[in-house]
Amino acid sequence: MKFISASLLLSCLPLLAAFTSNKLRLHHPTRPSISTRTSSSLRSTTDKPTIIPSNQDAGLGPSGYSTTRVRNFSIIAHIDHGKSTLADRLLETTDTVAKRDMEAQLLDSMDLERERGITIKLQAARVLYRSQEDGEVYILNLIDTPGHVDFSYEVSRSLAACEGALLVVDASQGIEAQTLANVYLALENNLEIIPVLNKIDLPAADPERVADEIEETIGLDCSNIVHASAKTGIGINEIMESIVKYVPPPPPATGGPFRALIFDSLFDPYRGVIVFFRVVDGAVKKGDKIRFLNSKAEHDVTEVGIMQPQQVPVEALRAGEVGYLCGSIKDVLDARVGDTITLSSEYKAAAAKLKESKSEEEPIKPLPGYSEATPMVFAGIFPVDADQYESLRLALSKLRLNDAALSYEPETSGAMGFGFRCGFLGLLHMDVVRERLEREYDLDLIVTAPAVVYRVEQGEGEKKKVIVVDAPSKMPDKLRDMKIMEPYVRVEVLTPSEYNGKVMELGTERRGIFKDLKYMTPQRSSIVYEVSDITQGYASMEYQLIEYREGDLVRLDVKINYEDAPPLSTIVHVDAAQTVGRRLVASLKELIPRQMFKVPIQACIGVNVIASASISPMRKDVLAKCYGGDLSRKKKLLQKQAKGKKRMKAMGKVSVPQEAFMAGLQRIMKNNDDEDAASISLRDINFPKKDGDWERISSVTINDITNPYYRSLVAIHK
Amino acid sequence: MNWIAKLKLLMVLPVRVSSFYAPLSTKRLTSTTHITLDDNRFCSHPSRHLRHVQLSSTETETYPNGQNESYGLYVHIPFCRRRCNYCDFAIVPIGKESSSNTGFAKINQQYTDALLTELSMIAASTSSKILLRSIYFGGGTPSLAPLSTLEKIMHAIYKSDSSPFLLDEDAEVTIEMDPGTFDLDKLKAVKEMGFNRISLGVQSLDDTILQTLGRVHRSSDVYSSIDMIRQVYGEEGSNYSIDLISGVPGLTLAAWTETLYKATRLHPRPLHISLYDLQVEAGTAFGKWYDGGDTRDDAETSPAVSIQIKTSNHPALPSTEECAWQYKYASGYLRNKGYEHYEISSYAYNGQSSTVSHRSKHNQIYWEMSGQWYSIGLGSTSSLNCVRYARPRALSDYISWTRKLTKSSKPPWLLSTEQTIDKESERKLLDIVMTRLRTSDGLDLDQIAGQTQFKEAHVDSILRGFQLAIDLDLGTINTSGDHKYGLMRLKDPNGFLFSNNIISNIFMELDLESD
Repeated sequence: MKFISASLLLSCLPLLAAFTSNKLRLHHPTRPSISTRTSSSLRSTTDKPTIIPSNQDAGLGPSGYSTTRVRNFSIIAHIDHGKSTLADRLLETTDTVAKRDMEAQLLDSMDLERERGITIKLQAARVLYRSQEDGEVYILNLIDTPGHVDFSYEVSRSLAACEGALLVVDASQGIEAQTLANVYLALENNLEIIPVLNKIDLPAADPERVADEIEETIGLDCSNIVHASAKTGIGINEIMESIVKYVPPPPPATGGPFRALIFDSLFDPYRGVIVFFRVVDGAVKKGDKIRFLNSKAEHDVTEVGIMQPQQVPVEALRAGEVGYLCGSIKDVLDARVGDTITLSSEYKAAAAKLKESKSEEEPIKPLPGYSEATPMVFAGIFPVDADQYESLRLALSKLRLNDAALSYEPETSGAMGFGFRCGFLGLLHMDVVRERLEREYDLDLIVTAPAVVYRVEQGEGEKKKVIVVDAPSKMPDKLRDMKIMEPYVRVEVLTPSEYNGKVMELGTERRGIFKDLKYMTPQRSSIVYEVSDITQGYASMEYQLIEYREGDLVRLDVKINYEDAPPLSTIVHVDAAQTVGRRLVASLKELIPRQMFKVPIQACIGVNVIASASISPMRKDVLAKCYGGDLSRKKKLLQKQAKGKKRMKAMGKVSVPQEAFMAGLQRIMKNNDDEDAASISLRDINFPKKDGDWERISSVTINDITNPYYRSLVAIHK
Repeated sequence: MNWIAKLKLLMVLPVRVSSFYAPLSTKRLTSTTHITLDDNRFCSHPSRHLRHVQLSSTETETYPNGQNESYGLYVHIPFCRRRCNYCDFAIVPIGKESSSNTGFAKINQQYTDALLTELSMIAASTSSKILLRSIYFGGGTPSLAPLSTLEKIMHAIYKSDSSPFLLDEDAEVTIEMDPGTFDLDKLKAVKEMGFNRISLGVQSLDDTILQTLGRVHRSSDVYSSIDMIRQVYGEEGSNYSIDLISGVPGLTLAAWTETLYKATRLHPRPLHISLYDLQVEAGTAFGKWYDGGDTRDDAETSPAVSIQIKTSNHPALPSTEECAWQYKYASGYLRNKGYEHYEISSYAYNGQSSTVSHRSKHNQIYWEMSGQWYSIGLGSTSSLNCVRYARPRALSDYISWTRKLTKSSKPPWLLSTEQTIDKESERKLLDIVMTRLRTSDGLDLDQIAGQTQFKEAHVDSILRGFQLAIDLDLGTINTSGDHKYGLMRLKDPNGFLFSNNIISNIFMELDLESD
């Protein structure tokens, strides 16, 4: 009954919309009158702020726009727990998107996102919902967050743009480490969290147990938990009602200057950078000159609008609203995620005022939480075909337009020719970039094994020299007064107590420094290590490190047929060199095809060979048959062979296939196969209540390349 | 050619903008209007040579490399009693008793008609007779064709007034014959028809191996066949070649040495030996037995012990190590017995009387830089006037293809489109590299550099691709006298053994160059 009335009301919305917009026009017949009101109200900070009507208010009903009827929320969920499906369902239920336009997983707009089932770039959607409680129409702004920790800075900024979050947990699986990290990010941003149990219709669903788990681990009150199934539509209305009921409305405009938080940006070839933001105070409209506080860039606004989720231009965006703007901005770096947008006029006025009073303060206080993207993982990208260098340069510059976190600089390598050294936020980020280059720009690439940044310190005091090493091949040969510093992270492992032994074994093996062991309950314990395991670039997607510490590190070189292969060099701890070297030569032996001669492969430290293997030569490669004058079949075979060779890189006399350059990665995978710590199951993880000692939390997940052990890691940084 | 020059060319020929193949672009101006490229010996129009034919054959123009401007003719006879275990040729199995088989009679009739149609098409396309230096009846098993069929075809080729060809004085006329498929009378008739060379499908002299190969004949058939050849052609007149296969499942190293020993003691002596290293092709019985392809090179077999996982009753494939040994042993042994290893898989006897070469004239046309040949029959390929034309490989397709041929229009194997001319130079160079490096005479780089459609850059690419072979002592480049580049050769046997690898290196360099 309830459901029917809701849908009836919804179907009436267009009618209402038509009515109200007419009414508005009657009151404000001309546009100039609106803009005068806007500017006057903004200039004077003492005036009581007035709500500026705008054309998107059509459909809000007679009450019009008020921040009290705006709800900004995001959805926190583990991969596969149904976030994107739920978002689709919300849009569909509120008729925001016509059924015929409905593409599965509407929010994931890149092909790659849809294919991998992950969300890389943020998108937002605004829906109107008439509450059954008070009959008012509410604006619900859904801000989608990227699901992977590689993008945890982006996650935290998009959460900062909300007042509430839906915590979506698979009722058959329970809460996962990654979800938890985002929950902590949300709590940090003072978000109201509404727990939702999804996939309630699955036979394996165990809502009671999972609800208990949520209560126990996060301390959320689960008495009003919503049982839902995004697939079948169960509980969708309850979710909407909960959002209206529990998510606090954004604070109303204070009358202060316009400030807005950028939570995403994207490059459009026609309109320049499109900036997605949440207005915190004041209002912005077309024609305003805006200033980005951190980048100090100024641009004229050519368009403001809302996302439904397709972009719809509107007249103005006011405090509490979520939308986009464009202004022929040519560089994404001008509008970095986390930056604050202000109005240039207001900024100048405030600055002039401050000059008079000789105050050192910022003219307009930036919104908190901005930080620069720091690439954590570096890898070389080279075209297979040297002719594609120019295309690669062009493609990277285009990708960078859309991805401010990507950095690159030209690199030349004797073996690989011309290419680029690229910095990424993490491995997934690297993977995504590589795949986009190959897919969208049709390039054949060789990507060298990724590595983190080391610091090499030489000399003491005055003469101290610091070299930053972002590629193993750039590591200088070791001298006596040289200190090689590697980045450290603090890792807290939460595990069922029965696995304590195994986890500690692992921690020791990875050169972890044991810090603490706590029993939270007799069955759950927390083990804290400080590890430098991110030396390989796989363990952490950290943005802020604990510190750099000296390590006994060496550069492990690879020689193929007695010739150096710099792209295959890695930096390892001296104790691990032997093992790593052996695994490396073994995997190269598998990956490099046989040649006409015997090929020795050696792993060396300096001049010392620490591991070696050799590829036995092929014995023959000849076609002896000739079909009555028909050379074409034989030729086809030879041409195929030639084509295969073209894709390989010649290292001296040896043709090395692309995969071999990722041998370092393989080595890690093998490494993890050996360990049975993988038996720690994900569902058994328990997490402590938030501890005031730690400021930031993010999980260490590398579930796409390593064993499940890592999925249970939570890194807590000071 | 710089881009400005290209641009100019574009303006001159606005229609031909599709692709730029640099070495040809200078040629294009002429090739659009006129197909005959007078300074282009690789790609000459047959009509130009037809005039030569009117002259006596002694006056036929002779080119520096000793090639006569005459043609080869390949005739495909697809009939076989059964398909051998290694065979993926275009054949038609007809069962054991062909003479009493009415079904075969019908197929034979249809097929003969199809061949005659092709010949009449050739005849219609030329006003004068075309000089042949070789006719080769291959198969299949041509000796299974009824004498009447062979007679009709031979007649239509050069014996009647309306036939398109003329036979050179010392032309080689070969027929492939399988032991056990002919008797004395048939052989006499074959000789009568004009066949002066026999290619005998021996494959092995070991009955177990013959069984493994799925051959119908046994070693005793081989000996009696050779005796018949002696009786019909005489001790001195017997000019026959034998085929042998190495690398056969179950063929031990000792058995291989034994085979070669027996082969060289056959009486009269085979003047030519074709020696094939077995290739397991997908789609053959061997392909099924040995998992769809030749995977031997993946195995990490050491020469001494090769572990074979026995999954069936079929004998194990020898390791690549053993195959390579068999190849190298044959090369050394046959040289010792007076055979010249003149191509990867061909040996010609030049023992006592070294003045006469017994190399196969027909095969050499395929390997020549400018070799041109006609072909008729199922699945056969002709190479004429810049057109390489492959006929359908399935019998019904082939028959219906011949029925569609009309005498009024030019036959498809002579149709050179602009597209084929464009591609020709590139394709031809790859062909030349591939075929010339298979021969012991080698690839004459100066001859390539001297050709107008190839640039010196091409020679440089070839040299780059060959460098590894020189470094590994698998090949040589002979520069003597006034040669600028020299003669490029693969060494026997090690260079030959890795020929694919070396040739594909050159292909890669040429490919990079043309990019």
